[in-house]
Amino acid sequence: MFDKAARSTGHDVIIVGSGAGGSMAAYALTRAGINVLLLEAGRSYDPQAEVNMLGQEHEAPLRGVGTPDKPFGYYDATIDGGWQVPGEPYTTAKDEKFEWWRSRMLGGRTNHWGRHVPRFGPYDFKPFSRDGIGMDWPLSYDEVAPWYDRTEEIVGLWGAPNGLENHPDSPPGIAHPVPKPRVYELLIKAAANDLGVPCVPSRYAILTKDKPDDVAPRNACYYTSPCGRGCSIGAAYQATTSVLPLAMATGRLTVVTDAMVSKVVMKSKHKADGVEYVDRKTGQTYKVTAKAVILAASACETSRLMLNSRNDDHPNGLANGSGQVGRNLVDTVGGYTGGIIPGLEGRPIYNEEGADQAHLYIPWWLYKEQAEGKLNFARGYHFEIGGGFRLPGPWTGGADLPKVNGADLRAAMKRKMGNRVHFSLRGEMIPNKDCYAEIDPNVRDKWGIPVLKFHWKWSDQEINMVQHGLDTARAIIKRMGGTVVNPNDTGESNIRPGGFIIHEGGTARMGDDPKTSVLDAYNRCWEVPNLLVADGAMLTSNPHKNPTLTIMALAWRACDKLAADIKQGAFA
Amino acid sequence: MTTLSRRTTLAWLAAAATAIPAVPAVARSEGATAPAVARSEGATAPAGLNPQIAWPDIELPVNAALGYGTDPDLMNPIAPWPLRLSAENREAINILGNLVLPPDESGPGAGDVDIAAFVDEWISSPYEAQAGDRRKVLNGLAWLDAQSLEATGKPFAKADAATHARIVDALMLDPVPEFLVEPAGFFGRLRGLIVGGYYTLPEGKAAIGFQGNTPMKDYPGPSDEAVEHLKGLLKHLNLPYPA
Repeated sequence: MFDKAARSTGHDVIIVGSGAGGSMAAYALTRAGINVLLLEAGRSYDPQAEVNMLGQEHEAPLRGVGTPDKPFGYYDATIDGGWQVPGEPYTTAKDEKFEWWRSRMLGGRTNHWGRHVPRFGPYDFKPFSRDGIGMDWPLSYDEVAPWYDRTEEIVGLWGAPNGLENHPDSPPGIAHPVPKPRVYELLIKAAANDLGVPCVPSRYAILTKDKPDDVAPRNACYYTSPCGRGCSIGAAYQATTSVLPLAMATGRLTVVTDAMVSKVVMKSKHKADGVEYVDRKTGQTYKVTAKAVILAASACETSRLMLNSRNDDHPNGLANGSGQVGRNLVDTVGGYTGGIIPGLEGRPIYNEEGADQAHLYIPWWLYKEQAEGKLNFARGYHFEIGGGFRLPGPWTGGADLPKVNGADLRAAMKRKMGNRVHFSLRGEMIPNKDCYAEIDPNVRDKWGIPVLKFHWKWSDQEINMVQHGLDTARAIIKRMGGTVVNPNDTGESNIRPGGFIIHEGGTARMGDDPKTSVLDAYNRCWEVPNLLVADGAMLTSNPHKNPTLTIMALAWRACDKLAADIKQGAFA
Repeated sequence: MTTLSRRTTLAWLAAAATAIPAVPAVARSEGATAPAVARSEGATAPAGLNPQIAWPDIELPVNAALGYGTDPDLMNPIAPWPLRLSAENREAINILGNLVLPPDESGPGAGDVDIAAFVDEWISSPYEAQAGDRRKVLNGLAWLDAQSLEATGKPFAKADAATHARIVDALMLDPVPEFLVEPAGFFGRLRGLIVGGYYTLPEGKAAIGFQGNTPMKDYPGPSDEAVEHLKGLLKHLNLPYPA
């Protein structure tokens, strides 16, 4: 369906990367009448043919557990991807750790993402104005809100009007109903609320009502199957069941897969001409040209491309007069606390799968305390909560494997089946000078393209945040009468390595000032206006609110402007 | 590939018959790989077990190139790697499977559903993460045979039920005598594999009462019975039912 091997130059816009930002850009441009060539480094992918929705653990190798070949498990949607990709290395500075996730498939990470889709709030777009740290966006929430609305219309989500500070709700009529909370979620809510911590209906890009469409009809969730496998019924959003088929149906989209872009080719100092790419199957190099180029290869891959595209006019990397390309690298802060709740043992068994994601979650709530300087970290976090009746798997051991056999063991395993709760902290990381990516002068990938070298150090902001999260989750677990599974962790030991949450961003940030930012408010490079960035690299800041919805909304907004400019004769 | 384990097993048995290793098992278990098993200082050996039979320490390499690759056919899953266990090894594991999870009214025993097939796939995995379990299980099976041969003249799989039970009882001791630290670590891990392998089978899911993997139009939420239980728990914790 997608694998048209067009090498022509008759396109208005080239998009590099078919993930969240690139696919949305293709959708926005093609429906505005623009001809698009979309280049994807990975292979073509069709969830309707390839996702094993109801495949059982015992039918998969090793009961489906993660391996180096499939880090999130056998049935996970990710193809040819992971923190390590054969032939595509990266390096890290001595004694530093950063893990760089890549996805090499049509639709990119949208095939496997968590699908938690909070909107950034008014505070999130103006962080410097609020606490004097980092940089304000060149946009306000009110400017972005209409783009959130239309993005949510096409993506589809469940959500409720929670009415919380700095957590904008969708206007009426957009969000589908949130599935009913499960026992462990209600228990967490009761305990959290008792401690003054909110616990409210979540927002996920998962349909709970059918979404009819002539081209890309999508069905409501049927409450089984992990969403990370991809969703052949289209309930859980992924580009390959939604915006990509919709863009294809306009007749204005050409997709070339297995196209590893190596550099942006320039027409003149301030004008991009197109890109060069390597066909991953043949090793042959192609050059394609267009009126404009959009980089949406994922934050780090996009900044790698810009740095590798340096030339005499742009000696520090393309459009990098500010020196900010590759800088301000952030991930979402990750932390984890688990609990064993005796009160949940031996409870009546029912179908507790529900949708695969949390029906309730704990949003950030201490804005007032932060404004008053009462906390030792400046930004927020949230908890994605988990639990439920989970079958014992091959890694069962320790407290989950009582030291008895026979009937006693059977009884104990049944009693314990639903006794666990999980609190996954997701927090805002503030950009710092120690976290960045640059080109490693000594290492190249299998196509000869220079690779990235990462530098990474958490600041006290993030360590203190995780400690606060540990204290909070432990208090909730204790209030439920439970015991904490990782009682000796500290903020420093518990924080996940950089890159682990797979929310990289900031490496070509938007701003008001060409001296301190790479992109203007319409995602255009200050120095090369027909070169745009439509992935996480654009993020001026990376609030704890998972970035994908914002990436998609701003990609659409940028492309709406680009389409209008092209139609008016710009970049001809 | 069963010859490998048989060959190493035989080689070790030959060595064990003639010499007590110079380095005691406990000394070799120091460090990161030491199993988390409580030790009993100075306890006497359980009847019928020979403390002079030391841990074999067979190692097998990791070879991730034998894995299923980064783009396997998800609709037709297969584990492509060669299996390591002999028929007799698998017989031994199924005997142990039925001692850990015997058949009862809720379902068949773990050995009855050939749990050894899963354990073989797992310990034969070419990936790093399973290498520790491979070492434990291959050494553990060799150790079981050595103990059984010494006591009965037959390998574990061919020994009588009383021998099986006696050895399993010894491996379940808590704390264990020094010489059983490694074997008990093996057995603890094997129990995890038996339990995890069993409850992910359709028979195991039915036995534990799991409900799920059933497409439905609307998610009904907790059953009335589950809500009643939650209300009781909340009352016990002095928490209101959340609005």
